[in-house]
Amino acid sequence: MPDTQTAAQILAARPYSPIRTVVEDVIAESPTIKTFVLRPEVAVPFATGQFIEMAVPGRGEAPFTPSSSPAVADRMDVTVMKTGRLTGILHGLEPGATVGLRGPYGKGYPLEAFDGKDILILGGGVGLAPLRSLLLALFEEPDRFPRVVFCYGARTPEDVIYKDQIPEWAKREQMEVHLTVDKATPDWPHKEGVVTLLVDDVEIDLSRSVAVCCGPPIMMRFGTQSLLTKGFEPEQIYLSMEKNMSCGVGKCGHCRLGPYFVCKDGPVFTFEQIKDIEGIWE
Amino acid sequence: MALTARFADEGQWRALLSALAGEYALFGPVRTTDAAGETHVAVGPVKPGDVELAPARMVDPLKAFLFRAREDLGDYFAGGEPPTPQKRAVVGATACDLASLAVMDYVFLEGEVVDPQYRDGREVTFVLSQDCTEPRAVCFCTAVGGSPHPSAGFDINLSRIDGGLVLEAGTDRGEQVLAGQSLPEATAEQVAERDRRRGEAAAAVEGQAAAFDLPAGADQLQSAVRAGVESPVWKREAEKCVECGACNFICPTCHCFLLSDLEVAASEGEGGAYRRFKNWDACQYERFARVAGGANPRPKRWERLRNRFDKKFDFFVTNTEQVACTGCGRCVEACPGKIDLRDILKELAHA
Repeated sequence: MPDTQTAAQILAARPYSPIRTVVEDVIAESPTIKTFVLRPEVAVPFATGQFIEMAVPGRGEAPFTPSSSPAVADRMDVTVMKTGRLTGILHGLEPGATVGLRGPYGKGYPLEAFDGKDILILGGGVGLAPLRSLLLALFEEPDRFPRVVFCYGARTPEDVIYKDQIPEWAKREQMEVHLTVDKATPDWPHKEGVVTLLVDDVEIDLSRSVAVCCGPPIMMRFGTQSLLTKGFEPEQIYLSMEKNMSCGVGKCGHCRLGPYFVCKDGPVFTFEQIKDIEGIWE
Repeated sequence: MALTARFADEGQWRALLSALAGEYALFGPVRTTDAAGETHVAVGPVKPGDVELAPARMVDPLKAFLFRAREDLGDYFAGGEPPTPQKRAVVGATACDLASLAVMDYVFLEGEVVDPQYRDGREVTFVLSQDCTEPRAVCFCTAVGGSPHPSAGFDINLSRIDGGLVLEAGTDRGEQVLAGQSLPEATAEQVAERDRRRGEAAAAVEGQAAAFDLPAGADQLQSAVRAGVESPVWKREAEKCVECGACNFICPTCHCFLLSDLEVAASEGEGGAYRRFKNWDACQYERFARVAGGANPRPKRWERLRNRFDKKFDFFVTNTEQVACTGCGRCVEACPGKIDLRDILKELAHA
């Protein structure tokens, strides 16, 4: 294909056909989670919080939110938990494998709404993947985002992802880090207990704050509840919703959530937008 | 555009179809014999002499030509050219089919991304619609804002009268086809007969729809469905659902699809061995909304039945100010469990 075409132009012509992409590297993050470093043959720039469709030819395709910095356009990291058929196939991929990539889709984190505010980030398990992308975006502009309170929980210390990076993040002046695991080991220096408990200890000025939550459905549910209890208003809480987006562009119908298609109206919603919709946590 | 009604007798009608067949692949109602030896009229490829106009809508929805059951999207990876759509003329679409295009246009043409297969299919499909003169027993188009005769959305519309057809163009290309046939202008009597038949058909639909006493207007239907979240109707009616997806597939406005890869050659190397296809999907299927790891927002059949109504009478009214139901009654005819959308709406509206 001609080099002059951008990914957006290529995908406008054939929106359901992925861009040929090489898996450059595979990083084991935990026993069930791997990060794939992807280099598409045409750069696929994205905004943090937007998602992509990653395909294995002949085997299937699924939505993931890149976990890397949006400042890097020519490659992206996708962090995948092995949880089903396709993710099992992905976990079998070696560096050099050919996959497909489409996107980016949807609306990401609205950084303009975070300007100058304290940002409470609440993550659970593999839900840290999109949040890492957000953190890396916030790190690009410390003056604009002077205070980031990061609360993260995993099941066990072994399940914590980006283990070598979290201590580096903690050194940043804008960052405050709170960690917990459901089940600690003797060498775990942080808290024990579910991640929602971390919110109780955070000191934050609610009048100038936003909260961002991403994790497994049960954690999102109780995480949102803990944020509301803390005093956040529904419109201050940003949630990354998980649905089975197939087309990614608001046509195929799979990811409908009330009056929205998660793929084009989300995947990031405020709790205010979706709180009255039945079954949002299922 | 100014509509000049023309008249065609049988010979002129066949000549017009032959002219169309010279430029388009012709599809329309044709008598076929099924495996049991019974003959019936169904939409298919047809020769000009074999088109057999039916007095009402066809079993097959018009969407099958614009959003096909399985659409070949071409080479697996991006770049390259998608398959070129075939120019086709579809004979016999009715007003309920044309009404469905407003819903399909919203889904496939609106938004940041346009669906190229639908867009191209729309462009190359010549629609020769017809008045519905003998509504089927399940028809209720007038209860959802429709009418048995088309007023827009066609290239040419035909109305059957004694001794022939009254023809009207709705587009420039339709007008060109009619002009090429040097047809006489329809007489005032012929137009009057057409209008009389139209009135009779509308009265017939209104009469049979009245039995269901459906709320008039999209907002009222939306309110009824919203108020019925906890209605016992869902669990009771879903007892009869066998999850076949017929209501979805036969519906002229159901647009859900799933992308899949099919192997086309084993030797073409990475990715090249596959092509990507767009396939009709059905929200009544258990796995429709299932996510990785097996979590399912709608594991129960009654939840999926309710979802179908949420989508048609709530989602679409919020987003487009119209219901995604044309009152064609196809889902009523197709359901092996005899679940009747009209009964459900009636129960919700009068709960």
